[in-house]
Amino acid sequence: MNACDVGRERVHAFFDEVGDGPVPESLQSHFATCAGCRELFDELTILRAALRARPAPPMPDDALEVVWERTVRAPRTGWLDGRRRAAVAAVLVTGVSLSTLWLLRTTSAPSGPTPAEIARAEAQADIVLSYAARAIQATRTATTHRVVGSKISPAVRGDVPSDSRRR
Amino acid sequence: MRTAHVILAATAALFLAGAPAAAQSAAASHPGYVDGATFRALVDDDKEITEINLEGPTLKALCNKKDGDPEARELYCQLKAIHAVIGSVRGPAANALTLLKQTDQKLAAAGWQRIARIKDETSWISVLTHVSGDQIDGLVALIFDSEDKEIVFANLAGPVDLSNLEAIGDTLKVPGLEHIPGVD
Repeated sequence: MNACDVGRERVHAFFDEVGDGPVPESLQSHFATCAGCRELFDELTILRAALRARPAPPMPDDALEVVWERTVRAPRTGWLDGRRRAAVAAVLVTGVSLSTLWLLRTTSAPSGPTPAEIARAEAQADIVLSYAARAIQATRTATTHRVVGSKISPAVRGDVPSDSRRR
Repeated sequence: MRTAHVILAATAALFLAGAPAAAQSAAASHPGYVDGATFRALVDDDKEITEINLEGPTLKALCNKKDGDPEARELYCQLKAIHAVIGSVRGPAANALTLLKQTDQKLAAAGWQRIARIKDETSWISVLTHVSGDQIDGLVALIFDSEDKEIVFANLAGPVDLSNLEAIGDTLKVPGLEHIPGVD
């Protein structure tokens, strides 16, 4: 790309982007040294003025409809469109969810405790049952000793005062 | 947009349907079940702790065990859960005793029947049962020794035959239980 190519690009960029604005000083100084770019600039200015001078042809009434028919309303040729895509997505999501759930359940559900786990559980159960049984025994013993014993034992042991026995 | 909502709802429903089954213990809904989490919080983590949670397949395995005490096996077959917290409490013994008394009162207020409450200089024992119809379907034993600050919370959820349990206790010679007061 030579210097003039760069100048031509800048001229085109001016018309595309700036349009009616003032010509930048850098471009003007380039024109001073490059007759080709200056000529291109003048031609494009005349062309733009000529195009603007032409009357705008009226748009046909059905132009919008034609565009819509050919684009937005055009029948879809692909099989994966709109609702079908949503339906496929729904089926995929449901499938993946069910598979995950199934995998989680099958992997988390143990087939049963191992012999070592059973032995440990039995030892643990023994501890709890022993404590519970001991507590029940304690209540029975306490009842016997403290309630019944206090009423019966004195009489059996002969602790009852002699004057009360005479009565 | 509506389709997207349906997809999201279906996915959420599928996952939520599976989650509670895994998170919630089936035995926890049994009327004879009492949560021991409060006692676990009392126990000193720096000392020996025994935490026992037996239910579901483990109890079934104990029930199906060929050898062992037949009376204990019968009990395992009927119980829905066996769980316990045993350990030394941290902090003052009075705090643990207060919690035990509060639990005892709360259970009694909730319809549990107190079989007995024994107290001597250093020990405190309470045994409560839950009765449905004419059958005991839950038992809680609360034991505390203020000398060594040992606390015991034991809960059997499911049908319990007290005489059977006492007989099982005679056959089980678990060391270290001789100190429970009131036991000959």
